[in-house]
Amino acid sequence: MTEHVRDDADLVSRAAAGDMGAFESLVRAHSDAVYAHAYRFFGDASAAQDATQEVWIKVFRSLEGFGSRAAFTTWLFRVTRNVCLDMLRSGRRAATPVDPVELHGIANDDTAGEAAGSVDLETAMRALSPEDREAFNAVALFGLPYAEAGSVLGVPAGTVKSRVFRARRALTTLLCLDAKGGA
Amino acid sequence: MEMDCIRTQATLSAVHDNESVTDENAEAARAHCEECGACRAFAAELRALDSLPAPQAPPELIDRVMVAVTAIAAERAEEIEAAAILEAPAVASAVAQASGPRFEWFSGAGRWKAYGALGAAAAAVLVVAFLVTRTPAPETASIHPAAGAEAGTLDLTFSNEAAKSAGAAAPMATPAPPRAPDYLTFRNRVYKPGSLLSDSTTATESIGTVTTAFSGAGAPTQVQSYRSPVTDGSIVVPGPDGSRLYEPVVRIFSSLKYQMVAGNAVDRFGQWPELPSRFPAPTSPDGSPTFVIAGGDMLGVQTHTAAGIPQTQGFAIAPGTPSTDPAGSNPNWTWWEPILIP
Repeated sequence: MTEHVRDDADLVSRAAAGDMGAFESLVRAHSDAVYAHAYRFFGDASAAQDATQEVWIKVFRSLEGFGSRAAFTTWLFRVTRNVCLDMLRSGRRAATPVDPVELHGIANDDTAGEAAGSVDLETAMRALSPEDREAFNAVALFGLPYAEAGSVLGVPAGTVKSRVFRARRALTTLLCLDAKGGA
Repeated sequence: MEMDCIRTQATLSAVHDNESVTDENAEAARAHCEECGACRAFAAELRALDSLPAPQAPPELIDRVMVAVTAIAAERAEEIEAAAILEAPAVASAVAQASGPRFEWFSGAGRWKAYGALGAAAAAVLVVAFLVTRTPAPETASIHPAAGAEAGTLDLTFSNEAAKSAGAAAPMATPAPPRAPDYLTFRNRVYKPGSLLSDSTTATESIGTVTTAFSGAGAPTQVQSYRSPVTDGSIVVPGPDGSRLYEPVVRIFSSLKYQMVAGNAVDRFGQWPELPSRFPAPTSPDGSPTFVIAGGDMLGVQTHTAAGIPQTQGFAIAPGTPSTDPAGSNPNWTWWEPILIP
């Protein structure tokens, strides 16, 4: 992780100086995280692609002002989250619809088993609350520490810890991972 | 699920994320796991969850992003250039007041129309250049501008390697390198023809001589050159058809302009500039042993550095760039240094 952060800082510094190769390295290294977050936010590949492009354009325009005052991934997650929210607010895109049946399964451990094993990861993601999902994405996709994720989400690190744990429990149950390889 | 299980699994989840936990919580979780199979299994479930693939950005999306930001970078470069040129009228005006004749090309709305058209063309060229330089090895692509311009699309013709891999049997002759533009050099810096000026150049200060034949044949002669009224590094050279602005051949790196530096005379039109003689010709495509790969410029073209020379002081570009690149289709390695205003 530390090596990653150092690499990012170097690439950001070079990209801010006009090195397009360095900027492309950043894009290649982090586009999957940006795209996956947007995909889970909108539940739609086309919207995720638009959001990803918009994120990188914003990052490119703001590189000089970034100044490495935070970890690049923290900033990138903040930009990604804001772009998705802006697209939603502007009415250009709709958010992922939440499946109430799966929500019921998540909400009640006794019934979670009924849905278990019949869904893939992305379908299971749709059963999470938006708050749990974005906390999980911040940590699992962008690799943010709880405190950094909390600073972006506007909640204490302890809340991030709870949300991530709740998301993981729901996902492992829905995906039946305990039966597949958990033992 | 019991409370101890929830606490233990929350601790395991935090540890999985490399978060620090208190010794007390760690010990409690360890002790609980010794007695609880479900919680022992939870750690493996977390790893299994991590192994599931998340959605991945399509490869073409990366290219789309890079094309978009390259176009933005091109816009920025134009803005920088336009800002520099904005200073020009004051210079031209001062020259005119001092000595009478005016450079009509630099005055009036026509100039802005010209810059608008040039700016749009430059942006298009930069995007095209990016697309072409992104063509994966070993395929090499050439653009036929006329066909592309007419059809509004790129006509990419792939070289022998692609043809061979596709099963083409007939050997293809190696095409002759294209003729270089009408370059000339001044103090080893490379310039290309710009606009023809409508007035005498005697209004500006003489800065030295250039040696050129003003054609691809004939004997080169020494010609007096003059300081340009535009502070963009260009020079004014009187030729057979009148005084012409010769613009520096530049590329952008780190938001700064770098000008091509020639090691050969380039005293006839159509000659390709070569590396300065202090650099031995590289013996491999990656530039070694003379150069090492350093990064990329604004167009995403790979830059190479020489030992002991910081990249900000100069860098090399490998041959094989497309005709739309500032280096053109130069079959030689080229060397670039920060632009100087003569």
